[in-house]
Amino acid sequence: MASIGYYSLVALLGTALFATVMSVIGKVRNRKDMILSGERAALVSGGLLILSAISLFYSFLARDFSLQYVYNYSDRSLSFIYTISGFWAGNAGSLLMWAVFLGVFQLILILQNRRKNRDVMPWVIAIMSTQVTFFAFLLIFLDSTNPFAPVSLGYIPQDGQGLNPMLHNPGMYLHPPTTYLGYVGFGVPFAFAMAALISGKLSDMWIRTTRRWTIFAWFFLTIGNIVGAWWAYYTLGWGGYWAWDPVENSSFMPWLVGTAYLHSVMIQEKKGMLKIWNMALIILTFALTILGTLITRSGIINSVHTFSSSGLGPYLFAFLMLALGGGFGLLIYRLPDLKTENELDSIISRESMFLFNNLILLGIAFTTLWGTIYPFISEAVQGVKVTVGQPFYDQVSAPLGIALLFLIGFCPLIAWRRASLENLRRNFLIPLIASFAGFSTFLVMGLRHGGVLLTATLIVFVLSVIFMEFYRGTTARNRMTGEGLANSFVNLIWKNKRRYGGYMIHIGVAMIFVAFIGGPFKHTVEKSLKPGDAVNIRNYKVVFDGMRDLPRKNKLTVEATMSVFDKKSGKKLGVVKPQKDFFKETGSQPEQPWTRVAVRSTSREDLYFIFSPDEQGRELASFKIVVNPLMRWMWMAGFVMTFGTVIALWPDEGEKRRLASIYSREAVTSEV
Amino acid sequence: MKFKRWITVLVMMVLLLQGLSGTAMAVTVREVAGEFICNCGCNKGLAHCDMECGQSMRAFIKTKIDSGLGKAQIVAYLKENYGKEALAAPEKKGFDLIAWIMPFAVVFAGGIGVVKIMSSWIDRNDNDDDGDRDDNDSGDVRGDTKEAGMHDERIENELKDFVW
Repeated sequence: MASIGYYSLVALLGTALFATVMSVIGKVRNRKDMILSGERAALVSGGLLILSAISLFYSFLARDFSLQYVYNYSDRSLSFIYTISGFWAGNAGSLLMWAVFLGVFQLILILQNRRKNRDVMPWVIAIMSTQVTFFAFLLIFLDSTNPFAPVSLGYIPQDGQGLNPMLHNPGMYLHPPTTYLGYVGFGVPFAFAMAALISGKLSDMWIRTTRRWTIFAWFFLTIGNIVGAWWAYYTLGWGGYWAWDPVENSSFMPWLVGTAYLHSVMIQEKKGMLKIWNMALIILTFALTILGTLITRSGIINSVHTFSSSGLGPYLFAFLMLALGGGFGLLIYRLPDLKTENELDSIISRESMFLFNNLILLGIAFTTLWGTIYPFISEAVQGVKVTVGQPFYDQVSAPLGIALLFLIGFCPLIAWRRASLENLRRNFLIPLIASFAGFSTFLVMGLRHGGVLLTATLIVFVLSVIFMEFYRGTTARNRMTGEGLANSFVNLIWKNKRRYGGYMIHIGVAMIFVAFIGGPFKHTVEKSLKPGDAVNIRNYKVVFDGMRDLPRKNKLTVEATMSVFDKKSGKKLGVVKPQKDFFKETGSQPEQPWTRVAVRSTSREDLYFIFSPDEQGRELASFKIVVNPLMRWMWMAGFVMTFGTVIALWPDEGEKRRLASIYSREAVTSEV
Repeated sequence: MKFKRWITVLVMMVLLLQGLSGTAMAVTVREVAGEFICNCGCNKGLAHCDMECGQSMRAFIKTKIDSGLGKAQIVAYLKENYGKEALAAPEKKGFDLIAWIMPFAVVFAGGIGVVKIMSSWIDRNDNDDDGDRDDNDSGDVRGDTKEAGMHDERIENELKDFVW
């Protein structure tokens, strides 16, 4: 079965290259037969990638330790679900996953565009297939990234080395696939943008065609980042969720620029403005997804996420340069055709607010990039590799984040072209009153931290703006159609899914800011305890009841039992059981301890336990207990943003009709 | 004048918030540890490292706090002993000041750029309007028609966005 996978990849190199060449030549010479051949070859590429993925899954499930990759990332004791996730646990498999997503997306694109976008599809296939060719090359020619390479021991081992304990977590089957779906998904709007630049079809058709793909990619990158944060919080056992680790940064940067793009394309759709800017943003977003991969896999940066150095760096760097050089080169070439007669009535308009929103998002992205590369700059100039960690990002990104939060609230209230005084008064009065009431309430409640007070007030502002948008829309619809209020509310959302789905996503973003403002009030206690000892933290009294050994198949789990009481009333609130796993020595891997935190979570705060038993006997254990205020809001935000995205992505008949009409107009124009 | 008034209000609010955030609190181990990374090579922030090295370092910081030293003194002591590589963020002096200034400088420059570009768009729009007025003066109603069309389009868009 493994050989089927390998030869599928070998064949893939041929079909992907063929698809690229035929599509280009076919388009240049206007040969429909060649274009069709290219398209079919791209479809075959998708099939070959799916076949090689099935082959690798099968090799994992069949415990085929004749493959180095299966040997490295699984063993016989591994459960079904983690055996499956072994697929993307290492460098080679995760690259194959990237290629598989690319191939499948390309396949879907071809099927979606059988009767539309025919002018640009050959270029889209050429761009997508170039990416597939690149990954096929890496998967075949580099030993370190070939998932089907034979084991290097000289014999077939009876058992594998097992999966890193850190990866024994539900995050493992959510975080990498969702993040990769995001990364690869941005390749679709990039391919259409490049196709538009090459073909000179520079209307906003490429934006409309890829709108759902962009939201899809953005959504999965969002979920990938949130699940990654959740995983870090529950698994890495340091009581936090985001460490501004270079690899976290590298998935945050394309998210930021992608978010800017997602907003600014609205101006092009509505006003025909910012054509150059949108092209630049999608090129940057795509390039940043490659940069993220380069950082993760080149070995230039040491991080919890990085794969062992694999020799991939130069290839990924070359690919990054090709994307940037090719993308911006084409953009410069087409500049005269992209220049639009942008007109604006006033700086106080929604268009300008979108631009400021873009500025802030790009400012945060630049800060993140700057913080990631500054250690190298410092080393080159001063000879000292300084660290750029949390304090830097807290102080630099936080003000920009607050500005962004303000714009999230401010933007929907401003009219297009020019906001009149009447417009400002009508739209801002209630949100401003609500914000002032919120500010006063927080002050009365004893909140004295300036940054938190400002952020909390802005959260009230944003939420009240969104509430008013829903309220005004619902009552207006109720008046105009005579529907009941509930029906008006539902139909309001249903008739404009994109807009109201977007507002729900903004509610999710506000909820993430709620979690942020808990940060400064985090409280930690570290103590060694004997069974029966108690420790007080904030409003809690925690009693260490005892600990026990739980022998498992591949590990020894030591579990502590802690009773949590309300400090004032003495009422028992519950029992938590933090654990420490000691994974048995397997193959060449020594025994590895791993922390399983226990969290007592409420919407007000998390009580977070990290436990380390005494290695000699079970007399004493050290605990780190953390009170993390408002943490649950971060995870709830993920659900709200998912809900909002589902609404925004839900098939829309009106949109379909509008698109069909534009497609037919464009077809007529191109025939003429 | 209005602009000045708004700036004054903004500055006062910032000062108020600064004042509020400046309310003194006793220095904690977390605050001091937050300024450093762990020196055992684990790359974690000192406040977060649960290895023995991190725990002993935090215990050391606690003894310094208990002995009455302030945050600045402890930070200076640790920096002297472990070098500036141990700091979790660049210092706000010397060459490293660039690290802090650069992001704000870029955003500021970007902001100026955005405002300039938008101003040019506004100017272009004003010029177009002037052109329309000239046409009107000579009895041509194209300007009115264009403006009416723009308003119709605007009303239509706003209504579409608002209800449907």
